[in-house]
Amino acid sequence: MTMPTATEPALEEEQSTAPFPIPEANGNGKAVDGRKAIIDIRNITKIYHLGDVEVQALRGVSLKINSGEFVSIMGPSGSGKSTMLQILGALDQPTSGEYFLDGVDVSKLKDSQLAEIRNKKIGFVFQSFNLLARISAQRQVELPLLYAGTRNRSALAIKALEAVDLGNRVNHTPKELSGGQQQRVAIARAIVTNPAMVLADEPTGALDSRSGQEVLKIFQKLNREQKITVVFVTHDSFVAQHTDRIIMLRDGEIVADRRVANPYDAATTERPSEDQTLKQLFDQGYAPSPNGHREPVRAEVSAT
Amino acid sequence: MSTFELLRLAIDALFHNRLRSFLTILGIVIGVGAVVALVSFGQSYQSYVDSQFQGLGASTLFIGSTNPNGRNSQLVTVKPLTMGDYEAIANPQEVSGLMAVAPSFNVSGTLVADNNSVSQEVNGTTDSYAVVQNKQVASGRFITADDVTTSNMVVVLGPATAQQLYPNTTNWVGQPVRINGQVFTIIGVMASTGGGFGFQDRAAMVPISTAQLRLGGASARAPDGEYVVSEIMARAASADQVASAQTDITALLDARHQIRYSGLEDFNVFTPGGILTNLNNVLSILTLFLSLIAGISLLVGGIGVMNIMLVSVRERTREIGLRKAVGARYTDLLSQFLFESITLSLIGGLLGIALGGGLAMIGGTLLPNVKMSISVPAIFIAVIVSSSIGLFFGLYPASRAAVLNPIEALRYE
Repeated sequence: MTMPTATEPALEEEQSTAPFPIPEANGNGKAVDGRKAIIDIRNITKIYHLGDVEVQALRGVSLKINSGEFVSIMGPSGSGKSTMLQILGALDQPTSGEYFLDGVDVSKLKDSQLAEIRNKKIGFVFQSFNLLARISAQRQVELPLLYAGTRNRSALAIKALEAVDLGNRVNHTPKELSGGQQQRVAIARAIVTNPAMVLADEPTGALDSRSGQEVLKIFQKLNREQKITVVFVTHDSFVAQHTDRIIMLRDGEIVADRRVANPYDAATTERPSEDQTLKQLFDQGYAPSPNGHREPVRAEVSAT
Repeated sequence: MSTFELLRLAIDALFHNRLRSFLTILGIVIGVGAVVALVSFGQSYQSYVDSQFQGLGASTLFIGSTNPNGRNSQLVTVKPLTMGDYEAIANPQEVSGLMAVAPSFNVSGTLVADNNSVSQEVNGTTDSYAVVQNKQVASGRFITADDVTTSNMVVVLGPATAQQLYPNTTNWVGQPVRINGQVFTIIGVMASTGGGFGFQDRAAMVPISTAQLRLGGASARAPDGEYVVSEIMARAASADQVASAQTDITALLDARHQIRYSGLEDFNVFTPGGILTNLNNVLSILTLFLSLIAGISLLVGGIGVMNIMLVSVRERTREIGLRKAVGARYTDLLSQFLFESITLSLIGGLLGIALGGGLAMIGGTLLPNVKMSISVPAIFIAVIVSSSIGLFFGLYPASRAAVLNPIEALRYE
């Protein structure tokens, strides 16, 4: 399956351009289908000032993500993907527009309130895990609870670790865990506060393909079994195809927003081989190396 | 976050960099140690000096003769102190607030008993002397008024002098002593006081009339024929009456000696209490000065703490970013790093107290007479100062951590 692009016919068009219902007094905007809109972004822009130069990273993005969805935000470098991640993650504020997260208008909050939003409503998963050195998995997972002032931390942390199949690695430090396991600890840390959504930035970017599959499997399990809302920010179309919906950004605007017809099941689908990718690149004149080595085929390329 | 959690975080972080933490606190340890040692030493020495002066008597006044004339001038004819001066001072209508007054006529004497000879000042005095000096006899009796009236050939010795003359016995009363060739009988030996820097245990006291008649010779009389005294000692009823008694005595003797101008007195009134105050001031200033110098090393230690905390914040930029992402507020990060620097310098302070106490004790063994005690205020000040150093020098690095932009912190390599 190839990556969906703007020119392809829509498979299941989301009504992303339709006017949104105004949120109710309690702040919970209801989507048309009755499900709760966890993320409700309205015409957001973000302008960075780099010296005298103005960079418009987002040019009026509107978007709604419902509770229980599994979404990828994709886009090439410079598309505004990272800016989108920061705003969605309440790490940064938009220049204009509104952002309702679980009914709260995040775009109007002060720094200390943003910290509370990040603590209670968002679970982060980073490409490089960002675990603290020398600390057991359990204490890693307890960290957000510590800032929330939650009691009963160890029981909640162990429960979260069990949810990512690490119930038997509670006392291991990051050094004693594989990359995939470390990322699963990070996922446990993200879900332990029972957040409105889990925001994952290239969650498999630092992992080999087997560990990447292991992590994707956990995300799919959490989304399907526990109905946890998950948002991936990735440039990897193979990873994006494990999610249910892909939002494509380019030059600060949404250029496509579609349902994935048949999301891949993690650990059952092979990543397209390098041969296939190269074949697409070179179209013709590409000959796979007989030993499986990735050797450039200079003769054919230069001949055309 | 709870205080317990903050403390746990701080100790975890410090233990991870054990050597670095130790080297950082060394500055604080040395600074606090030096302050505690110097203050303890200074205060112990001061209380030693105090106790010695208590032996001399803080409420005692000594009136002596002096020459106000310059080397080549003869502005004043010096009149010696006389028995008349003594009687005037002893008169409660002239000077109030005195408990007892004793004259003393001193001659240098050679005391001989058996084969032992002691050169010793001999004080001719009266029965009030024991009251003025606040001394008791250990055995026998002191000089009485009758001894003075009849000029008895009796002597009361200090314990050290008695020991020197008759080293083989403690049964001194009744033994003979030759003073400047004349035979005296020991009627009493004083109790040891231990104070007065050791001088007070060496003494030989005879009735003043005996000293003037038998030992003084020509020097015992003034040109007008009156009997001379070397000094007059008085004891005020209480320490706060010393100053007024001093004023009264000065006025009385000014009149008796016809002194017209202040500064031309041919006598002086000396109060050990005043000297004690001056000496204490000097010692306090000295202690303070030395402590301030030691305090400079505390400042240097504090700067070391700040330096290390800045390095630590830089090293842990990603950790700070992550903590912010999972919901740490400004105050959470500020208190995390402040706790770390305060813990660091407080541990340094506690080790410094141990070091300073040890140094003071070692210093104490070098001066066995001085009873060494660790200054409790110095300990409190050391604890407060070292934790303030942690607070003060940790504040800037901690606030740097707390205001880090989470996005940039997470990206930091």
